Amino acid sequence: MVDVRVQIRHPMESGSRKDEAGELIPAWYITRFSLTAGDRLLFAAQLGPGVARDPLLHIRVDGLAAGDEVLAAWEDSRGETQSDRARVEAL
Amino acid sequence: MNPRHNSDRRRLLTALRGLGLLALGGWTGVIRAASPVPLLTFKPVTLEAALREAGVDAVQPSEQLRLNAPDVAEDGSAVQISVSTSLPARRLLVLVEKNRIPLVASFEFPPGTRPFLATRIKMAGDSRVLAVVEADGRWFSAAREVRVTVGGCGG
Repeated sequence: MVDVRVQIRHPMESGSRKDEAGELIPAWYITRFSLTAGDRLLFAAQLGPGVARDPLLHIRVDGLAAGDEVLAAWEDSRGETQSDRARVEAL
Repeated sequence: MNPRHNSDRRRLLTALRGLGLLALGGWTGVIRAASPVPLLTFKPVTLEAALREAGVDAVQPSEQLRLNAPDVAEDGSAVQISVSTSLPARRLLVLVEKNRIPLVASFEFPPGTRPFLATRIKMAGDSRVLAVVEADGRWFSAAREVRVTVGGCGG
């Protein structure tokens, strides 16, 4: 079993917070996330603004070996998309 | 499952930084699960309405579902929770009953991925936190009451 921990730097603004001038800060949060290894979908999520800033996702996956590459991809409420890759390491 | 005794386990630690990473891998799109879950909306509704809109009709408590959360969270802007189950769960919803928007997130575990999740959530104040999973076509829940010292603008 492989522990996969992903941390994404993102403000996850809820839309109900105010700035120092008392103005509402617009909502801006990650909406969708997926983790894949080649063609295999490992994990998918729909997130709302109730997920904490700089989201941390920790999941547990079978059938991966050291050296396998996984791809994390996400999209936010502004339609911005990002992705990153990492390799499974033996500890 | 004790993290102190997992030195034999392969582990992947990814630290993803949200800026400037697009060039690393190239965008391939967020891949959706094989059994498509409807696109959820995160709206200010009651807990019951949030569950209904997520497709949960009837739900029953299960001791086979474990939700770990602190009894007291000092900082409501990031409350660590984890969910694990011996049920063959393929979908998990996390909700905070008294947040303005109760539904926090929906997670999908395809075959080969264990029904386990740890993350950090926002809590506006004292509330019940719920984990609701779908297993064999039925919905099961576990709940924990969490007291929050300083609220975290729960979305």
